Amino acid sequence: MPDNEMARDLLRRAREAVRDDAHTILRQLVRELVDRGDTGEILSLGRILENGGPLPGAPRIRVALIGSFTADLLGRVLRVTLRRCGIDAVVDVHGIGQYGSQTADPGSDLYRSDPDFVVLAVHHDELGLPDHSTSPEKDVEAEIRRWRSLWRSIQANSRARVVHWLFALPDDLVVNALDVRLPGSRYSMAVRVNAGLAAAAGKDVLVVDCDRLAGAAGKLAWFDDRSWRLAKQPFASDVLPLPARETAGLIAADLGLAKKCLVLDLDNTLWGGVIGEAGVHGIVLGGDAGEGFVRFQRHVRALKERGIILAVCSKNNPADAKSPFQEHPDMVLRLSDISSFSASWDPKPEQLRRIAGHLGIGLDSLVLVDDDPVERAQVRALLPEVEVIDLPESAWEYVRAVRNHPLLQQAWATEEDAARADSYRAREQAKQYEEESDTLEDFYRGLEMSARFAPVDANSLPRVAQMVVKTNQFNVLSRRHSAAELAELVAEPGALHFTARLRDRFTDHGLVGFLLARTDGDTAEMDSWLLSCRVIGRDLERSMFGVFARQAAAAGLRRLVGEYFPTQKNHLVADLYPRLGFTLVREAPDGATRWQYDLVQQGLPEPSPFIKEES
Amino acid sequence: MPMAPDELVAVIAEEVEDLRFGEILAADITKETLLWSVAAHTKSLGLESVELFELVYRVEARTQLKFPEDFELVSITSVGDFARRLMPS
Repeated sequence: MPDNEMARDLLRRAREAVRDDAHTILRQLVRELVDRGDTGEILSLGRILENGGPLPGAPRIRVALIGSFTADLLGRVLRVTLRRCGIDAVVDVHGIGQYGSQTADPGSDLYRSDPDFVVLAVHHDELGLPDHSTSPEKDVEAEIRRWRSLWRSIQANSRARVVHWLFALPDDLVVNALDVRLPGSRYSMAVRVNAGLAAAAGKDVLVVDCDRLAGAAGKLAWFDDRSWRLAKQPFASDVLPLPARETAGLIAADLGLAKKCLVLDLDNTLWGGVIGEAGVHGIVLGGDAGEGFVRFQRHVRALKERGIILAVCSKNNPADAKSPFQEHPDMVLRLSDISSFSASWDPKPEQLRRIAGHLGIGLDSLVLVDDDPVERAQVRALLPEVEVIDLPESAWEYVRAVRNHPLLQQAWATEEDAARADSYRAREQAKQYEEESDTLEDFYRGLEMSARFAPVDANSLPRVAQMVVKTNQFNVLSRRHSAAELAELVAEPGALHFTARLRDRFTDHGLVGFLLARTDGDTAEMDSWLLSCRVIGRDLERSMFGVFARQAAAAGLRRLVGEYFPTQKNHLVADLYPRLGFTLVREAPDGATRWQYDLVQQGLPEPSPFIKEES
Repeated sequence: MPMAPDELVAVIAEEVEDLRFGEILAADITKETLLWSVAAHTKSLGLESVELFELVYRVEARTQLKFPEDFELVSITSVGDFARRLMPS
């Protein structure tokens, strides 16, 4: 089918899906149409979606888009790309060039709309830099300061997270080849402003690297003088999906919607050819023919180093499937990089279910990379919650296909991100060990666990904020506080809070638990209690409760109160409070429950006998 | 093969339909249809300037034809006028 006809067919099916409220089909069509990256198709899809209802179960957010240019089309494309990331968004586009007045005035429309995110979509004309400077350091500093003060205004006047577009720098900014060597040239200063803003953003501001995106698209294709003249849009409409996709991906990551695990097929995905037929030395990997596969493996390993868990899902004999990892000299990935390895002749949907189970994560945390269109279609049909990447024909283009996936973005990094894959691999080892242990007690004892509990501080706050938005299963209240809100909550007088780090004989899992309670009179009431899914089933909650009770008793409190709000994913903590000795106070018709523990009557609870507390 | 003028009018009509999904049908659009109100009380599709900009993008992207660098959005009046200006001379 010609490309244009295919697009019209997809749009027609999207209209039907909207009409019929067929959400699963619609989600697939939105993914497909947005990932094609055609602005016209995305704009048409946006109009179709306007006629449908909200996305069931999706977070609903309000985004304020403040451009230094006409951002109407961008706003519509952004809304659809957010929807592709599983977010139901209202995008308010504020007037051209009004970012200064809107952000400075506490009573402006911007703040009245109470946005969750403010996107500062600014372009190079807004750079407050001279054509040439005799004191470039000072001018660069002043320009960075100017934008930072804008961020601070937004943060002071709203609860919104700021998303800042770094400047895409056109070639017109350059006088000649000397610019890069002259610190005072406008171009050199602009490069440093971008770098300075990225560094200053820290974890408070999300950053879209538009100069990189413009470079990838080709700057001659990105910048469009005619669009600027006709509509005051500095770039071509063709490229709108690029910054929109990156912006949406970062917002999704900030909301904890990024995917956790990349599941890799093997034959013709990690190497060329079929291992079961060609053998270790017959597969295409390395050398001129197989360099594309090596580059792809490098990219995959880099993702692992950023905290993405790797798994293998292959239709192969296990020994064949593992042999290149052990024996091929050009393999970049090692078995130790893979947190869950599944090779069998079972259908891939079945294998994917097993992988998710072993890793203790939901199917909706998986992204499958597979060269075989039939396997991809089967997974899409049977497991619509799994994201599936269509690999192009050539291995040289695999990296781009994976990099462009909006849900593999990361808004910011924590130390735990880098350690996450190791922790999941250790979880798999521990699970195997559990199967070999005679009793649960033997298993716990054999793990040689120790935990460290410490109050939340500036160092741990980013990781805690990340956990608060990402943790779904062991999360009794599922309150999604922003980092700023958390900072305020832990600073409240009387607040009880701590983080938990867990180690076992296999690995250091890092910071995996968080508890926060607010106090009133003689009562401490739980605000948040969560555990990373990596350490569920280790009895750590018992030790955390012990620490909480000890803190409350030391503060002279008597009653510990906790509530459970059921969500689609947190049923495993429905019985947490009764397991720990709490008494039911009330139960609401929606399943929410309220529980109480009386320290005077019931005494201090025992921590887990299997976890040693580190001092 | 170059596109015939009537074919181009049909493409523009389809793109207007997509642009104003659910409001305007391609079948109701002819080459005489005005894109915007060139004078008070004239009947037109009532496209706003940003919609005209979007329509130009859509039709150019689909046909691979290109308006000259110096053209002005508001100089296009009807669908037929749009097609005539876009056709290679």
